[in-house]
Amino acid sequence: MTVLTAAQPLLLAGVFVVSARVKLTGRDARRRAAGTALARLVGKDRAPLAYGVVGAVEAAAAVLLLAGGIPGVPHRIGAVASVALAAGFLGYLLYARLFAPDSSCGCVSARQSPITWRSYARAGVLLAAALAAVSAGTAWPAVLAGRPYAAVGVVVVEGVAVLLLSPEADERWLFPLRRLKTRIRPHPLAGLAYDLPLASTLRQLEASDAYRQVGTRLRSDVLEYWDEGEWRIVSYRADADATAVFAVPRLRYDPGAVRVAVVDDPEPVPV
Amino acid sequence: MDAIDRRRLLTSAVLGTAGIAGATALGSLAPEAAHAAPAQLGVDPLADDPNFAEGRVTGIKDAMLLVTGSDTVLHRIQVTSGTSIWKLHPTTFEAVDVGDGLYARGVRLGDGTLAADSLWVNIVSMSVQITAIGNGWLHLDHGGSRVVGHVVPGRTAAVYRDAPTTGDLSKLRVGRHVHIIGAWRPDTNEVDLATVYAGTVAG
Repeated sequence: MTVLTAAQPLLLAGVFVVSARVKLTGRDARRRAAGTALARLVGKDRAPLAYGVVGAVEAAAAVLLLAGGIPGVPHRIGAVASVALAAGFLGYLLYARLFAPDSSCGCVSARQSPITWRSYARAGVLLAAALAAVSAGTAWPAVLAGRPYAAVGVVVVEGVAVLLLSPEADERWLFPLRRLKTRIRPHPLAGLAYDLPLASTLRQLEASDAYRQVGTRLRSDVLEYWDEGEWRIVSYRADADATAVFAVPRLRYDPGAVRVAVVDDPEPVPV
Repeated sequence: MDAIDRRRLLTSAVLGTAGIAGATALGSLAPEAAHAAPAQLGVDPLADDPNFAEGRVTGIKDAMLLVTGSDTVLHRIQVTSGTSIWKLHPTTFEAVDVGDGLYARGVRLGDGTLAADSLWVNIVSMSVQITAIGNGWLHLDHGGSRVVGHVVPGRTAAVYRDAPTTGDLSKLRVGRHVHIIGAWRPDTNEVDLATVYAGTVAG
């Protein structure tokens, strides 16, 4: 129990350092602060400044947490500051949920990420860690020296949990994992009922000389299309009440083979 | 003449299986003829294009669409047999519903009605990141909000760099930034995918 509570300052300091670094050094991130719920809270103009101030407070809290073992520094002062910060984050998320549901969280990275249950879970974990740190009877250097493996283990497990709860980090671990899955198992979109999409025909058509020759006469987008043997026939409305009809090779890519005819409209089909 | 006969006529006109009065084969269409009357834009760059309308369909009366623009301007859009209607693919007037969004291009008539040449219903175009791929769907991240892209077999196409457009979507990867053209399902975050541009920027 002692290890569990006394190791918390290390986890909290780690999270605050990462989070503060983004807020203080990422110029881009500060600019984007205007897109976070913070802008709603303090006003768009002041959002970047407020964002930076939060970063500075986080950095200060990290310093206090790590200084907790030095003689002369009360070892709980960093923990108390962390409780205040973590409670503040949770409150901020609830506020954002209620008043700016579409905004980005702006929590620990420059990456935009919407506020989801994971954001709450992460803020909850941090608050719990901060409360545990307050209840710790000893400072973290003593525990680290006494039971180093247990202390490091606790911090690593919690660090991984925080990482898993961070949508901002998805690109680092979740996406590669999903890529791996489609590589070892059949791609979910492989082997769909294969039928030549019209978009494929149109791209070939638009690359053809036949299309360029009558292109300026076309008035509408594709009216109808159908398949005729090795051809796909595509019709457009042309000027002067005519219909432009193209024949595009269906199963090969050969824009040079595209044929066109402009037909005086035989008879309009009623709508 | 029914639709089948019409198709047969147009097919034979272009494939040259029968002599059709009024049909022009490619050979006789000189470029000078095609460019004799260059497209007249004639629109002040700062003015609204009178021959264009966008908005949500608020009413359908006979072949007339009542559309409310995003700037709350009301449009009346006349649809004829020569109007092309796109809703994920070329379709007919019956496919247009109240609540659909649309872009229309045509000719503005004297009474303010737009006689439409083309309608694009619920069309969306956006740059997204693929966050997950499943059986028949893609999850897409669009500036922080999630969009579900439905794959429609036989209709959804992919463009990989400069290769010919294909129906094969199995080269899409999680994490890739792509551009999509699709048909929005009104009032949802779901889109039926028309074309996925991977490794190219849609023009």
